[in-house]
Amino acid sequence: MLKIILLIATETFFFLLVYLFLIFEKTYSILGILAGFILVSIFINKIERLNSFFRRCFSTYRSLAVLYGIIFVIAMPVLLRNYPYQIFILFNAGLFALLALGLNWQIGSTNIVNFATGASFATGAYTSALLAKHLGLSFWVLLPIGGLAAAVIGFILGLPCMKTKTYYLSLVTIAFTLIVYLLLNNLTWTGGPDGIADIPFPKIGNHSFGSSIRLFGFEIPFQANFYYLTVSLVALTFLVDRRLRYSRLGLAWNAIRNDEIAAECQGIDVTYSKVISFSLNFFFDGIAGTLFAFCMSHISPESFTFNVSVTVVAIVIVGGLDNAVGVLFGSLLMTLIPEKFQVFQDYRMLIFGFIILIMLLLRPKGLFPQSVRKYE
Amino acid sequence: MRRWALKNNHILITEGLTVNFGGLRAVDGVDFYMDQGEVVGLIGPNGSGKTTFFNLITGVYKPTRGRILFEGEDITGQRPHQITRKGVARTFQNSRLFGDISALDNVIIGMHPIQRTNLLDTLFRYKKVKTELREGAKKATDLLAFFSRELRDHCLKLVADLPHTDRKRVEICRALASDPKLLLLDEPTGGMSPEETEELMRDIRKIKEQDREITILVIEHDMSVIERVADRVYVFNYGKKIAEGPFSVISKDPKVVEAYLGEETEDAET
Repeated sequence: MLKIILLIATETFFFLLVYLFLIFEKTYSILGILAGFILVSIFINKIERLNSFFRRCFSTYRSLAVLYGIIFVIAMPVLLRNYPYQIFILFNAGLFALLALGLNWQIGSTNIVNFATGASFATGAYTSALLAKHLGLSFWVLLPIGGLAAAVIGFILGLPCMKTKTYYLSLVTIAFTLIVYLLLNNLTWTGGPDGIADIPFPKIGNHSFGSSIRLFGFEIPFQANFYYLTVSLVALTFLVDRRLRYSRLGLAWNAIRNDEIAAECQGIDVTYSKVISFSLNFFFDGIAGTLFAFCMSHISPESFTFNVSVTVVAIVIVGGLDNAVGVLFGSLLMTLIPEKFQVFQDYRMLIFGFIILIMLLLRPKGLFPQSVRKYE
Repeated sequence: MRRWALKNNHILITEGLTVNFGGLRAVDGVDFYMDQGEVVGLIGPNGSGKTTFFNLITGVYKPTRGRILFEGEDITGQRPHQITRKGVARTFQNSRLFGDISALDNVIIGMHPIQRTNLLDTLFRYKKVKTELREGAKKATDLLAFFSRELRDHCLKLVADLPHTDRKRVEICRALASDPKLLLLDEPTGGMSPEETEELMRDIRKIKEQDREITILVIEHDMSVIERVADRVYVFNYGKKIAEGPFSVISKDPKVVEAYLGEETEDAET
């Protein structure tokens, strides 16, 4: 009973923290919340018994914890109904969570430090936007198409990447992101620097995503449409991640991460596994891109710079390598904090660089390190 | 030559196997065979090309010249994962385990060649994957328990946190997990105390008793181990095969004594 109460209290505390963090405007109160949060987590982390107690709470009552979490996630826009911009920030966090969960299969599971997220994100967004403008295809058709288009690009990029390793592989992916950015800026059929405007909002039946929704008798701003859609896609990706982790492929990825030659000697086709990792990552990036294009209804190359890649890499490193929960947490952290410190906007990349550096020095496995697989 | 391979009971044959690294000829024209069910020892001084020979058989290096036949099939130049899938499993000299995952996971990864689920199963028919993994986990636990009960109880620990002896054992379990026809052990007793070596030899014999069909090739420094484990011994020096036969015969061969045993006694005196 104590465990259940503690569990509910912890989750309530966490969501309350996120809520307050979102709506507070003054730098002092925001800093206060951050400091409080860091102190609490250090406290729990330092005392080993408390730490393991918490972990046991969450593992014994996992379904309860998940259910309670889902309720909060659904209720969040209702709580934030007077703050449309804050809902939009959460939508952004979800988008980055999609990108980061996919990238985690590369950096976390397979140890391929891939900086091509900007490019794959762009592929999804531009494919869907162009098809919607020229062929009038609906959002629901384009969601998988955007993913598939990006997956094909990922496969094509993945093959030459297999010739390189470690830093050189990262350089290839960096170059790819820069090339895609330059192409988008200079090609005429992608709209050049102006990009593509007036992408129609998605529709379910008669309900356009551009109009507000009524839920529990409350009027909720239209941003919530995209929030709910993104959250469901994140949940789907999370499930895919679990399945991949507990599968032959997930184990093979972990083997490759440790030692490629030893992995090959276990009968693992290293090239195939890596290319699959690229394609899967790109597929979900493509989906995120489509989502982004339709939500913003206007895309331009500026949204797909190298900075996107760096941010997503930072999320994975901060959140936890090869731990999906950590990645979700990381994407929340890394989107909310810069949003709240607009003063430092110009130094955003500098701060991200510092955070990565500090994390790698103090906690190289991320806030939530990889957990051991259990097979009942 | 293929005819010859089929007529005899040879599971593995190499013909004139040679590999050059720059100007160095690490393995030089080695003719070699193994019968099914045999335990063969491979000895030689440091740098005589024993591990390189393993790497050639398992496809880690491509031979410059020569052929490798496994069960009568030419496997020269195939990739390591293809060769492993045919039933060749190995361990490494400095146990190349997957350090940041559990011992159990390591052994389950060893089953990769005999597992059948693919990406589509993982995404859309997960039940199949779940059953396969459960069975794999059970088999892996049994394998670990076969070596030591204690190891089974610690099977969820990270491999990097296990003591040296246990890591060596996990590596052998990982190799055995794919039900190989040919098992290559590269200095399995390296860095072990005499008692631990004794125990490991018992384990190797236990493997043999459990599966009479399995063929084992073992690189070993410890002469007493080779004497008791191997049916036949090959001796390498400077990449060349200098002797072959039962231990009692080769240990009296003057060339072997000069190349290997001679050095050993000198070392012992100093």
